[in-house]
Amino acid sequence: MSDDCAEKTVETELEIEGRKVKVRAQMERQLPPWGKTTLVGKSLRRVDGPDKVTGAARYTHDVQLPGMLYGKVLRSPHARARVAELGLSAAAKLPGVLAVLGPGDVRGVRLGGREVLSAEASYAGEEIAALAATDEETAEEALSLIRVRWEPLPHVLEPEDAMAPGAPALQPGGNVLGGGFGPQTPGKPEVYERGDAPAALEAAEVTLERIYETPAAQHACLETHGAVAAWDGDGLTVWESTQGVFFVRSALCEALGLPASRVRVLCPFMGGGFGSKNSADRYTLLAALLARRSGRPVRMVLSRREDFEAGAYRPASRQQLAIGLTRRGRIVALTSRAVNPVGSALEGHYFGSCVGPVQDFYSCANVRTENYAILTSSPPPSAFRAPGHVQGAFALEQLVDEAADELGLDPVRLRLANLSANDPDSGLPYASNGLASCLRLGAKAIGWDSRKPPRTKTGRFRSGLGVAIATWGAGGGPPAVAQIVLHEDGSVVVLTGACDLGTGTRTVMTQIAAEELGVAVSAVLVANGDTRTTPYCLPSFGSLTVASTGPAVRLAAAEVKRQLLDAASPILGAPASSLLVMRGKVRHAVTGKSVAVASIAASLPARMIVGTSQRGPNPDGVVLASFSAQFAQVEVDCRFGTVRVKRFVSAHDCGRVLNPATWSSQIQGGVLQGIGYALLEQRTRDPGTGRQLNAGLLDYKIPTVLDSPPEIEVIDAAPPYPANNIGAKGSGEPPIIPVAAAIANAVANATGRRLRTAPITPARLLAALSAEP
Amino acid sequence: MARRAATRSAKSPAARHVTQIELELNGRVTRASVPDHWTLLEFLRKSAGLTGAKEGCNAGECGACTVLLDGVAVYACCVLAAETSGRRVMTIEGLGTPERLDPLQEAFLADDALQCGFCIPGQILAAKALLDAEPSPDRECVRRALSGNLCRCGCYVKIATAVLRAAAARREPER
Ligand code: FES
Ligand code: FES
Repeated sequence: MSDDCAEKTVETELEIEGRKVKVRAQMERQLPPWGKTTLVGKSLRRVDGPDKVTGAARYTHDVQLPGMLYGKVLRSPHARARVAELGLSAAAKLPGVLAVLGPGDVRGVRLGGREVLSAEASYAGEEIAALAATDEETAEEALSLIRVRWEPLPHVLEPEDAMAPGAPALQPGGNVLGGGFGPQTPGKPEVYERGDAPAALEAAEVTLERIYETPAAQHACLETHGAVAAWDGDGLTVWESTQGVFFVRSALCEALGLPASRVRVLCPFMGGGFGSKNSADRYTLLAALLARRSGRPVRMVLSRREDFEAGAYRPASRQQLAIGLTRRGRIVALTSRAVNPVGSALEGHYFGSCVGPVQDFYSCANVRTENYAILTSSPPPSAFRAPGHVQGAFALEQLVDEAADELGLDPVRLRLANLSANDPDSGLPYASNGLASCLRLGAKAIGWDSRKPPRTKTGRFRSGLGVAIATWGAGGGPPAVAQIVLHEDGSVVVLTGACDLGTGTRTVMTQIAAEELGVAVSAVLVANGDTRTTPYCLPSFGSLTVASTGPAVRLAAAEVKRQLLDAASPILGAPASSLLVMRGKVRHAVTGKSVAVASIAASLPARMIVGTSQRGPNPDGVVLASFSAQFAQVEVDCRFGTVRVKRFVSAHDCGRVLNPATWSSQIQGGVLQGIGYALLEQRTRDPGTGRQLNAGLLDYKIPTVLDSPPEIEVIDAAPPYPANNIGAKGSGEPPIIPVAAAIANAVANATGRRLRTAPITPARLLAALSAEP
Repeated sequence: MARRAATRSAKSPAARHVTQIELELNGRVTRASVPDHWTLLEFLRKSAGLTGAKEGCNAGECGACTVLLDGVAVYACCVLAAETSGRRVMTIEGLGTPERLDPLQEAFLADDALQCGFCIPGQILAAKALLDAEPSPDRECVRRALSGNLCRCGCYVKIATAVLRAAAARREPER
């Protein structure tokens, strides 16, 4: 690397999934903002689209290797139980079974602080034993031959039961801990405080206090979790349906004691992640261990039932909120006391948090939040698209609406009046903030001025309008490295570790590289998500891929261009500074004399140009966030208690939109998941056994096309964003955050009834309608 | 029709009975011997090397495995491979290739009616069955016809738009 700043590193901050972390970063070369662009900002078709619409795209599920075995897992049928005896020999003797593992065989192989197979189950569905056989049926049959003598232990599913006196202690420190990301003190909540909220509440002219509840919701990626593992000597190759190949690799290296150089993790295509596929899971390690024992490749793909029962979820919440305002609608105090049931999460895991919105949506001097995590006999939760903020926004954004009703103020006006020019927590300015425009443009698009109060509505079908907002740290940051290779024929390969979850990563990286280099899109290939061939970056999570990897790709392209112009300078007999690259040619800006990129590359001693660059630090003294305001128009059927979302408007500030087509797809997708969360989705379990009752796609209801409004209008309300060289912030998570609250607010506007528990099911709505207002 | 030859496989206790089938698969007469209990989806993915039909649930709940059986959209996970003998099966691989796209595939690309892509082969084939039967559907009709195909990425609005675009393109092939 020729950067003269290559030596210098500084500390910088980035926000991942609502959590601020400090990292070291190398100073980057400053590139001027793009002027007029020809590719960036255009709806270039997805570069991997043809493979996806023809079935040519190979997902982890589709990997088939010679001699590949099918791996299966024996799971606990009990919510909490000890394995007193485990008989594996009958299964091992079945013809076709080539490897069997029990807890005793893999002692010391750990993932996230836990043994990979447990002799004591902390939830129904926990992994107890694993085996691999020549075909799926034999593997299933072998599972049925495993003999287990269980010693069931008392379990607790609900937080109230876990907190009750005499409840079984699920971990030595007791069942009540602080939420958030730790370190947690047993028995104590995680507390956040600014100003004096209790006193301000006491003194406020108007106060409201309400309780909101949200369900455990599950990702239900259409491609279930899975991995295929194959050994070659002491080297391991793993295909994994993952958001982050490097996190999978480090989990494998740590658990199996392997050097990173010997472990290759690939994810060419993956069928949805939404936060549930950030790293390796037990099935990954089990595939590798069974493959090692059997000497054959092993495919370990979870069934839909397993994916639900043992898999990831957004933790439920119970949030007690209070707001204090002046009569004129100025928010003066906010408090939240939140309870997050976090299953059998261990210290250091994600512990659930839903107090973020109370801290950072509005300008308010006096805020106090108390965040509890409660252990239960359930799997540990995981990140799920805007973890915490989705739950928190459902509560806060309804409370703000309730306050507007109480004060007789318009909900959009009340919000506009309380927006914060600076980040409410740090007091630092935002690098850019288009939230007010999101509110104004969205209100106009949905026809907010026609909104009528509920008392004017009668009859069976009643229509209502609702609004809600979101703020989300989505500025990305290091580490993210990109490498670009210009080959002798002028074709270009962009190497990045970032996995494309369906968000369009490959496509926008193609646009960035082609724009900066001045070559045709067809000359560029993005090769990504392969730890053997691509440079390091974080997983595609936290809305950070575009804002982290994008600037690195632009820098790498600029570096390749610099070398290209230097090489062209003697050929064209002009200083490099007078040359530019356009449509695959290096051209003199004045004379127009030109030479093809390919012939320059071919003339070089190395026959190629390589540029490697890394994402530099974020600017100090500013806060990086994306914003959104969303508007729902619903129709409530008062006879059946059903809610139809008739129209939806989703306005966003996530900086420069690099590709309006892929961007609006992602926004619409977030809205759809929000509609599911608002109206349909909740994990339900048998209290007696702790087993999930709706571990399938028929009973765990994700939205179908009929639950979608016919149109979802997406609005770009972004002012220029100066904090990185491509001008873009993240947009993956903001679109889901306010959806459920906007719908609940619209239901309240239609019916005059507040549904403070999600999902808003017909049973809940009918009960609310039959109660006194 | 199927010549049923019940044989006992020495290799694996699970693969007990095997049936010979002969079907038209993506326009080609295809013969195979398949375990009796295999679904069409298992045959396609494990034996025919056609992985375009996906398994999202293996229980008739998601539509990711949708293929055409004698022109009708079916869940391949809910049809036995042995039942397909003498019949016509079309998978996404039989519709078009990256170089030669079908108008439906073209329309999905034009409207960006895809994200992760996992549900897309099923969506496209369900749409093809609709358009073959009803060349001029309206949006509501498209929505009903595709309501058995889940998309967790939430591409529904654009998928319906793409199907309408493809319907128009099929009615008036341009140039
Ligand atoms: S895999 Fe056949 S319907 Fe889901
Ligand atoms: S595109 Fe991902 S499930 Fe439909």
